[in-house]
Amino acid sequence: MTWVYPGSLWGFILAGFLIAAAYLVRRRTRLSLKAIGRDSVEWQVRAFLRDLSMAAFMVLVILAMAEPRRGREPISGESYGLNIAVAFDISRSMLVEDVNTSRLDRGIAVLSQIIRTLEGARFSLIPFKGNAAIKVPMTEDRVILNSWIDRLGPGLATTAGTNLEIALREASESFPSGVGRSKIILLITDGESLTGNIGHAARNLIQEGIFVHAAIAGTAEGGPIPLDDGTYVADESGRPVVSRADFKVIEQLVDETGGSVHDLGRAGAAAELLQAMRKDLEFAESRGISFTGVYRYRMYLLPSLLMLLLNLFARIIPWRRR
Amino acid sequence: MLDFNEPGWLSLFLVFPVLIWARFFWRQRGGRLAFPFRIWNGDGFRPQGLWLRVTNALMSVLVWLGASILAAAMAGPEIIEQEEVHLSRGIDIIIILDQSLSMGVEDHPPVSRFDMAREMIRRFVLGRRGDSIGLVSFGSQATLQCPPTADYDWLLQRLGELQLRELGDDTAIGMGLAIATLHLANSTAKEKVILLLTDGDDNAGEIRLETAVKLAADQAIRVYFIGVGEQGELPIKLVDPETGVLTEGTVVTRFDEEAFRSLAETSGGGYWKTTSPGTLEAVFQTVNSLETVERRVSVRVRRRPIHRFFIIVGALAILFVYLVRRILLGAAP
Repeated sequence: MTWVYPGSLWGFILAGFLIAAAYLVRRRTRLSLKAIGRDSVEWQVRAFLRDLSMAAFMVLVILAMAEPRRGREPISGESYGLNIAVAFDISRSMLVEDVNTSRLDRGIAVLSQIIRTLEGARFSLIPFKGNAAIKVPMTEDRVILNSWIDRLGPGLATTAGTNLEIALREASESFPSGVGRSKIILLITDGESLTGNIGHAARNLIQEGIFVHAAIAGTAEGGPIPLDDGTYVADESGRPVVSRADFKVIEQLVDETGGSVHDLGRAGAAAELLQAMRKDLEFAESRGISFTGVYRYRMYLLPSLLMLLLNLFARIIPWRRR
Repeated sequence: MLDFNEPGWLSLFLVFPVLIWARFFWRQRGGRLAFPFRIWNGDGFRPQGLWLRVTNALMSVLVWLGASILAAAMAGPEIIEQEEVHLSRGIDIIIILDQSLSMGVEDHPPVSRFDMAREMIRRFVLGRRGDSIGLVSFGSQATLQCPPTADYDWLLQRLGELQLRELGDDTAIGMGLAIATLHLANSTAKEKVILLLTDGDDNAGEIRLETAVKLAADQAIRVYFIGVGEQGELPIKLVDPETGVLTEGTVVTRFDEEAFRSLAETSGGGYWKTTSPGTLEAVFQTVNSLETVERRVSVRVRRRPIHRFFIIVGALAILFVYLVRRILLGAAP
């Protein structure tokens, strides 16, 4: 289970303040009632139950707001052909030479092979670092694609960081509306230091029925990050910073959206990636089925409504007097 | 249109009248505070002030409204949008637009030929469905501004960014046509078309117009020539794109209509001359009607869930009432 809006969980702080304030008010009211001799067990039980149910309501409704999600469900929809948005990581860590000859070159080689092999497929190209922009709109034109692929590198953008959320959003916006083609995002990255709300991005992809196939360039052992002058990026003590490929975030993303993850350091990874993309295409075309996300918020919203009901009952149920 | 993905949950609303009755009208309901007046030592009771009565009423409405919104959220509210989806391969079109100096002539002031052509291209693009459309522009040089794409927003954005004279003052039509041909050559579309808008003869670039048309014809690409504007010596006002300085003068524009017509026929296309926005629009409409293919279209329903909005609004309403009544006003639970 993952949370699409984990930021909503900050609401627990507000809920904590409300619960504490309600407790203090209850104590003060009890003292006032004591003064007039009406501090009964009935009142205490009702007050406790009402505050407890309201506290439970707050917790549950905040969890529902955070939008828990798991799994996908099929929906019908005809399609033909493939539209592939290529989100290509051009951060400096892609220059690390822990795979032959560098992560960037390996990614470019795989992308070129895919573009060459998947005839009839349309591609858009979205290089990304701290920001992302569509450099080539969804097109079948291999000439423009190849000319942009030759230019891929850290020099193409000046923003620092590797914001995967923005990259995925731009990639999903590069699919033209009204075109009945299967939608795939091909993510080429080393997976290192990815930022942005990836859960949020995944939610939108699931909603649009977009699969993510990821090609991860780099190794867990990693390597130093080369600079243009032949030296390496160093930390404050002067030691070279080691960049390591990170599969975890990408595997989690693909687990939610559907698709596949491929380690470009392994032999045959490019062929497997191609095979996976072809399989998606055949599945969508032959069965007319795509997938959408399944919402799990009801598992928290329903109990929160029951807590509201308990709150009401704690107030109105008559107290049996002896 | 608003819809619910699990409308069965709306039956929760059947419980609401019972709950409202129990809360406000049931005589045996508990939770009312009773105490004898004789031990009361405080000030006498006063009727509730107007503001307190209004606040109480508002809070009651708000809390039930909040609960209703949360109940509606259970039913999975969604916005339904219908989208026309094209399931067949359309035509590939590249529009070539002249950006040279003479396109700044205002045949019909205050709109220049260039702006008039851009507006007609925009309308033409928005009128196509499911086709891939690209854009090449030329002056002394030529360049691909947008490859053939169905992403019309991206294409129109690039079209809007074009500036007169940014590729030089001359007219490299052959180069523009050759570039367009290069980018259409590997297209898998059954029909490939180039629309060429210019107001002058080919006078720059390394590829002659005749050669470029032959290249296009060899690739089974039809070329439509559209000659824009009056010919002769015409007044022109130009703003330098770099300095912003306004320059006024005259410019001689001419193109060989016979040559255009003959070249267009070589490729299976056509030639038109336009001198006003109206005739240019008519030409585009003619091309629009000429370039059609059989299309397979279906309507896809898109569902945009909005339950989270409902949850936030409902929860905030209830928590606001709790804050005001229970904590600020110190109401007994």
